[in-house]
Amino acid sequence: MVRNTLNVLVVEDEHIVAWELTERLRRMGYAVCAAVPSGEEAVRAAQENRPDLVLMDIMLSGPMDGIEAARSILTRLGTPVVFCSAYSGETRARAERLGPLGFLDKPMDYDRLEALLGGLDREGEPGGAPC
Amino acid sequence: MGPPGVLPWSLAALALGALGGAWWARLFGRRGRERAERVRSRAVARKVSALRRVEERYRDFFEHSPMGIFRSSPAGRFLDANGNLAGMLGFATPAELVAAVTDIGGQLYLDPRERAEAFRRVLAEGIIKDFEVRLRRRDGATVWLSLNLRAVCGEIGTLDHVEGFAVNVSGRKRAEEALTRSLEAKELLLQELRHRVKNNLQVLQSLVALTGNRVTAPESVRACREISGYIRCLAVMHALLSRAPTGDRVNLADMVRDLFAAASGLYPARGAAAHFALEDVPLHLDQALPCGMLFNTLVADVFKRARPGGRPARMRVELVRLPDGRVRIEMADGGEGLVWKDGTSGADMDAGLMRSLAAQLEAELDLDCGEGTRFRLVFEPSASRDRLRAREGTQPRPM
Repeated sequence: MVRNTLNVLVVEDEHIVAWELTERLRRMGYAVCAAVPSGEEAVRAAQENRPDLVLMDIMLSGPMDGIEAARSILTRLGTPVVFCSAYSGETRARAERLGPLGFLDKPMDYDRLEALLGGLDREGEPGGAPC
Repeated sequence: MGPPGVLPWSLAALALGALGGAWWARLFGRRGRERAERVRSRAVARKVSALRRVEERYRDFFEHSPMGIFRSSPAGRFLDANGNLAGMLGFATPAELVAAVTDIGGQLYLDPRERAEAFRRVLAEGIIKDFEVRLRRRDGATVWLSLNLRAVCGEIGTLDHVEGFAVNVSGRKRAEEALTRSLEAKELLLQELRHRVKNNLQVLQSLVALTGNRVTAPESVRACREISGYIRCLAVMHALLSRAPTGDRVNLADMVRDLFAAASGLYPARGAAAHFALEDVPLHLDQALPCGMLFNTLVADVFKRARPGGRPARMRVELVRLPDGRVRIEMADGGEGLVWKDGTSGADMDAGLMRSLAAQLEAELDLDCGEGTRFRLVFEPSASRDRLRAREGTQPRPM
């Protein structure tokens, strides 16, 4: 059942978390175009699938971290990014300087995730309000 | 004929100087004049000798002072320097230092702006103390000096030169830098540990959620949700701790609000309205955790009672510090009563958990389940217990 319209790219190197997040998003009615563990794959998947939203971890497999991957995706495609990370302090501040749609602290508050996705989804509807 | 007997020869010598030899000879004769001149010469010699001794004392103080002493011009040359300063800067003698350095700011300062700043301040304030600068020794090594400077102005009020005392503080600076590096490394390690803990909680939360998606029995689904609640509770405590300035205490009032918000997220389809009257109470981690788990159990219970789409469950929470230093938490519901009181599944677990957590807190636990539920917990915060332990000479438990 797909009742929502968003297509989401999940970027998460912890496979259990990526699996559960994908399942949760699909149960919420969203489409997940791909779940990838590295920054390089994230940039590639974003270019190929043109998602409406990227859920981005910061610490990833490979040399490119989530902040660099998000910068690349935002610059090339302008796709909104929500960071999902356990990092705080300077790393979080560095991520927030990119102007993401949101930052979800791990362990994630799924209520906030749903609110963020719902807000973005309604933006796409006629008369929908931005979140 | 000599001067009158009442006139001492020393005064006669002064008078000789003042009046001149011809006048003296006219008054007292040639022999008197010669005697007065001899006395005058001896007085001058004594004065010169005394001045030399004073100069030697000051020269000795200047040369052998345990601190560096110097005079320098605004143009950047040493006018004078002692051996200690020369040694600090890697020169064999003061003369070598004075000859070799023609631009103090450019040749000696690692950051020449520091000298300009020192001159600006000394000109404005007259004297500056403990001004710490980094200088480059002759061998290229860095030396930290603490300077006390005094501006000496010329007749028209412009800066003529600066007098200064310098102490080598490189050892202290190196120790401070090592301490800073050590603290930074520890902070980095702490951040990494926090990151790992939160990541592990996320993995655990995901595992419980995946399990919850695959079970069908209502009790199993409920159990998964409750475990998620406890994980959220731990995450809330962890987040509060990471924001705490000392890292070992959390504000109980913040914890109550955050746990309520976390429970709201876990039971999104049900509603609960809360009224809080909370005083700020810092609580040590060894008490914050059981207290948080206990409160979480109660709040989850309030949400469980609220029916999806029905009237939201109500709760009132009061947190006060009593005059004797103890803390009281009171919670009352809207009259529905606790789930676990009714003997529903999981009741034994909740009741046992609450009693166990209250015992860990060494708290008085009162439950009144007449018209609705009134819960009251009174306990002594750990600061008081730490003092008690200190009095008893025992150590607090490691965290």
